[in-house]
Amino acid sequence: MAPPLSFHFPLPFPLKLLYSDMPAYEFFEHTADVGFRARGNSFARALSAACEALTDVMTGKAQIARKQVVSFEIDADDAEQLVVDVLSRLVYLFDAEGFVAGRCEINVKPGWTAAVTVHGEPFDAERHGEGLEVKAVAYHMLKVEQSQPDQWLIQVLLDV
Amino acid sequence: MAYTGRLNKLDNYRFELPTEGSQRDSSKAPMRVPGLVYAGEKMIDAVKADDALYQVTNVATLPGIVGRSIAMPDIHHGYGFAIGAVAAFDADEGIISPGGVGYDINCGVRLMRTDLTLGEIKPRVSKLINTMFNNVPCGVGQGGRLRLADHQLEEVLVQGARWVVSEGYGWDDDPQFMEENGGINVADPGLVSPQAKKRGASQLGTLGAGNHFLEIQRVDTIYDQEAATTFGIEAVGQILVMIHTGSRGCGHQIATDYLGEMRKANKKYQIPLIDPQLSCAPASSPEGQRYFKAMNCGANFAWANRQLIMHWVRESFESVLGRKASDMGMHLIYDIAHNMAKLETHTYEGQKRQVYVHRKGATRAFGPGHRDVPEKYRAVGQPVLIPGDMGTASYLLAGTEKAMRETFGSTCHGAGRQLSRKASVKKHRAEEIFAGLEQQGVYLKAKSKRVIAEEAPGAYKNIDDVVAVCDQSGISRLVARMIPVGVVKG
Repeated sequence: MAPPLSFHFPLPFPLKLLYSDMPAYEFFEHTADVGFRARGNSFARALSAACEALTDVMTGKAQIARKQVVSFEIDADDAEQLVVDVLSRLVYLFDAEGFVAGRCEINVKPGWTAAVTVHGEPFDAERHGEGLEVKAVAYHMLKVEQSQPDQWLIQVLLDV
Repeated sequence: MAYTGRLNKLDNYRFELPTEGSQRDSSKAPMRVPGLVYAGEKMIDAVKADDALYQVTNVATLPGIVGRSIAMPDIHHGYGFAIGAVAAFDADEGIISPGGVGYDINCGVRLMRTDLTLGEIKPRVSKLINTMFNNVPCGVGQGGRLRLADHQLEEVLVQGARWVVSEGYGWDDDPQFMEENGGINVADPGLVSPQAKKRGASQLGTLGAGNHFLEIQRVDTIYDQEAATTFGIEAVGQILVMIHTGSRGCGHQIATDYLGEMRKANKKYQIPLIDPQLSCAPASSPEGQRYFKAMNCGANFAWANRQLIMHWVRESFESVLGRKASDMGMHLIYDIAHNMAKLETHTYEGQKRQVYVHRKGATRAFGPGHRDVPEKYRAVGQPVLIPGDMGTASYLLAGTEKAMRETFGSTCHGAGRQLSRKASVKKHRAEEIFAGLEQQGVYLKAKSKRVIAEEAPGAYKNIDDVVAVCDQSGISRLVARMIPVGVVKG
């Protein structure tokens, strides 16, 4: 498993070699909302990075402790729907259950089914309250791309 | 990406996007009707700067669109429909789209009057704001004061503000001064997912964060004394309270659930789309009607939410000023929705048509004599509430006959962002904003410093310019201008 650190892609040369399978993401600007691009050497890795990017937005880049584990499975029609559904579940867990997602382990099975295990902790306003209120995960500008066999990109716009 | 298509100037306040030469790519779906943009000469370059006008052309491709794909002067790039967009679709042949409503279903504004003047409350403004801040939960992750049982939440989804009032949080005559009397009847809570209900149950009576706010305002200018008096505003200096929030997690989840469903419906009905966020279904189809009835549940939640918050604002004034809210004349002026799709009857080209009017970041502005305007205001037209941002003015306008003819009874909804949040944080520091507001005599209480920098007044378009276009083009008319004296932000 990759170390629980988060680097912004692209990584500096030596690190890139060492951690070439590490989840990574970057944010991009949008007038009314917030967007990010997450990358990984597999779709599942890129999706896992997308989950971390979402938590960064919701908590104001707080460090998330591993105190609880939540697991769920999602079945979707296509890759884009799977991205929206997994991220939307994390928004729901944050908003309705007060659960802040940290590291996400994702296993994607054929037919766009994802088994997701999330390590996180209960919401604490002191530590997690400086983020943006994410209303939803948009389809607008949503992109899932595989440029090389081991290079996946997921682009997401959040409604905040 | 800046707009490079055709844009024809019609007059000083209106531009047209013709069906030929406006789209970035018309091969997938050509425009069925032209676009109509309300903007002044000096703001049109800013309007062209992002993708918003292309989004207006995208909406013009959707089946059953009637008249024009309309953009208000506060338009900016959204997802799917631009924010500041209005489009009407034929009830039988047209579509309904969650992308034309947005995630915050019935995000809206309410305005309450008082008999108080600034002179009377000036030394108590900070205490009033601090009390409101404590009484109304706000900020990210903040749950509400009420814990609703399942059957109570169902009542909220069906009855909206009327249920909240019946539980003792408000006055009997409050609902008659809300759009739809605070609750749309065509609502089926059986179509709302358990997740949406759960997000809703803990968040009724919460403000949220971002651009939502509570403000104590003073009347700064009265443009039309007769209309102002009809709405309950007698003089400059009078104190009003404005509440800007929506359907919270309940509405966000309903929208999320149905966008997924609409994607499937879209494939089933083979509607060509330029943007997946525009996913839609024929309005008369089972999928379309399911969304409509679930969306209305979200709308009802929002009216209930603003009602509860208003009740706690009245209590805050009572506890700080030691007088009864009724003795201070704290009557609701009006409550409007600015993210909704509604089934309305409009006259288009001499014929009465049933249409689903999508207003995404746009406000209904029905003219004088319309039966949906409260009787008390009917001679003047519907009150239109335009919230500013902290430190900037807000406006009270009235709907017009011209809006009924040109915009399906619609006008703008606010200033509209011009800076991204990141750009705003780079440019503005929270401490400077606090100090600047203090100098202007505005007391600000906020949960998050970051929100302050993101929501800095400079991040928004000039609201005075936006409402001036609405007034001068005749799609609503100015009644009064308000400026804040105290602000609560999430």
